[in-house]
Amino acid sequence: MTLNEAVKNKWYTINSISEESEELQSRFIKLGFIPGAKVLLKRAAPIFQDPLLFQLEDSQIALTRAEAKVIEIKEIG
Amino acid sequence: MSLIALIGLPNSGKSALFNSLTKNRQRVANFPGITVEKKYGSLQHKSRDINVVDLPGVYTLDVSTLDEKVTKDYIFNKAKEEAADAFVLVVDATNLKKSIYLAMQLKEVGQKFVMALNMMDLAEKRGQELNLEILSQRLGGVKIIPTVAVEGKGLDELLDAIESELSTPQKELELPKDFQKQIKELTYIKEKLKIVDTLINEITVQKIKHDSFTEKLDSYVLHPILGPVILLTTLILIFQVLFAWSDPFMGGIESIFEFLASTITEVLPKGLLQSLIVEGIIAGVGGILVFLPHIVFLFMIIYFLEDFGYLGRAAFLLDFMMRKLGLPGKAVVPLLSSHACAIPGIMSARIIENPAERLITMMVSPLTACSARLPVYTLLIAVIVPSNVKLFGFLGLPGLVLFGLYMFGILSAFLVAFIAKKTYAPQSASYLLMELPPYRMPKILNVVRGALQKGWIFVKKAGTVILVLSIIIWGLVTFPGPPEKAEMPAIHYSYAAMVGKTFEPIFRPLGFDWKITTALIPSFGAREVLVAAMGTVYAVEGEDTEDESFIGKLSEILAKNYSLATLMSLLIWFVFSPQCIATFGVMKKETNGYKMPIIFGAYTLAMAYGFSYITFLIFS
Repeated sequence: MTLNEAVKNKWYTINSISEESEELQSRFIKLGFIPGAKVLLKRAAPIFQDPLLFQLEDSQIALTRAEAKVIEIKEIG
Repeated sequence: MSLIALIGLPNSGKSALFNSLTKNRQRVANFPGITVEKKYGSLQHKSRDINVVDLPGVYTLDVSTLDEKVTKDYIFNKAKEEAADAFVLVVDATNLKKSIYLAMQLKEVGQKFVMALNMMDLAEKRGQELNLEILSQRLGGVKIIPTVAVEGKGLDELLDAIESELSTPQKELELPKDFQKQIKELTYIKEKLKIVDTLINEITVQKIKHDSFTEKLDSYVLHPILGPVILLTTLILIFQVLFAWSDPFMGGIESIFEFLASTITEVLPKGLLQSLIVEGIIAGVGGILVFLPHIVFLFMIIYFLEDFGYLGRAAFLLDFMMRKLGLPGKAVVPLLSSHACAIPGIMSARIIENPAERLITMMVSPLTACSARLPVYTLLIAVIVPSNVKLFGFLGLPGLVLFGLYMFGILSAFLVAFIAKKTYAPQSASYLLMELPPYRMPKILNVVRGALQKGWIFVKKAGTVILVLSIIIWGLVTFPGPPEKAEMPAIHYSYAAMVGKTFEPIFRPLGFDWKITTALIPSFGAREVLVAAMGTVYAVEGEDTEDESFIGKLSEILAKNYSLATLMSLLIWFVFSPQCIATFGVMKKETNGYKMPIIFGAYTLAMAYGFSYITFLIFS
């Protein structure tokens, strides 16, 4: 599954990041989206449910749904 | 003189440290990527003069934006302008991981640095205890100094540590082979991160507690219903508060200049000199300085929200809607700043990574109602709108019209952005991808100082550009002087009238006569000059009217001489017209060429002419 399908308040690990856009991938990696990192969907923006706010390790990161789609995740446990 | 460079992650407190070190109260911001330019300052330590440069924030040495490249060039000793003698890596003690990753990269390329472990107070409050000795050892003996930059704590120790670095000479960096390629590779990154994790485990004596304050506040600020309500309330409050706060100060400044004018009129003999000072300089510069409180308060509010961490949240809340309208959520910062002045607004568009969207943001930001339009709006509203009408018994009509003009500016900006996006960059990918920083209580002193600094820049502008323009206008209006048996007021025989009359045919369809046209010309230099120019053209000081204040007199004259259609058309002209010269200057600098400023000038001029024409037709 991809990160945009994550269920709220549930921890996932990042599997991989699509290599379609090299630039986007490098931005993700910089912010800490690395295979193995733990991520949790905290909330979606009001009204339109987009963008999404994630807890990624120690930081809070906002992504649009389209951006989140690039990240493959798997459920923990 | 030695140069030290501050580097670190976005939002690590670099700017705060820079301010504390240099006492040059540059702004501290709590919005990712706000250091859009290199900032310089200087300090003295043990009678040694040291220059400090604050570089844009980076996460790693694998850089992607222009801003980040500046920093990388310094770190690799390849900056064209200068070489830093020592580096200070500023680290947010409450969020170590990414900073330590960067520290390890610095070590890898062989760049020496001192680590300022910043925000120690917050880290301690949240129960964190670290073994700094081991951390220093693992990073190859790097000096680590705990600091609280906003309070100036730990600075002496930091400067001592820097000084000892300064005495060891810089050596050539020897980059590991394929370093640039390697740092992009996942295997490298994962391996390094593992080392970072182990290291953090090793040095952690007591783990940091969760930031429950940010968590709690976000549950309101980003709440499905409360969130938008808070956002809207905040925006409306900004404007309400702004006018409420500014009003008494504006009155004060006005009376100072009125007093000056009447004193000089009494003291100096009637003649050219008196006319130059009273009608040229005092009327021109004074008419502008009245808006100083407005500018200072607006910047204070924006800086406060920025430092507090709210602007990032606003971008999050608005992103979807703004994206549909052609701008990314991050554009909220340039758009909001442009309400103070388009120049910082255009510069802050650098936080938008996508080049097409950044360009569109720069092109439309000046359409929002900057504070220089305010004098013009206030004057024209005073003429057009009856001030005694109250809506629902308490909302004054002039205030509502002004609010409407602000809204009109924002809507126009979005309209143009929408069209530009659709035609110019329909496919262009755009990123939100933004870290929301923890909330931090802004240091009010920093906010006030930052705003006063902007105010001072405005005063300097009034003292230079506007002073010169005022004198030029006065000269154009005064010379060559009427012939002996002149039947009409002196202005009719002036150079200004000749220029105005030459251009009048172009502006006649909009309802402007040669007097308005004459006043429009200098307003391309700075919008607000229109008020002073109209005053000069009508020789307001000499007129006998009921209202004694300058603005009062002028609005009476305008009401007497112009139809509603002309005044409305003029009002709309100022919503769109391409101004001021400084806007073109900054746009040229930011886009690296004349093309964009010319396009900007052309499209705003066309819009101004078109909308004014339509307005004139509707009202006549």
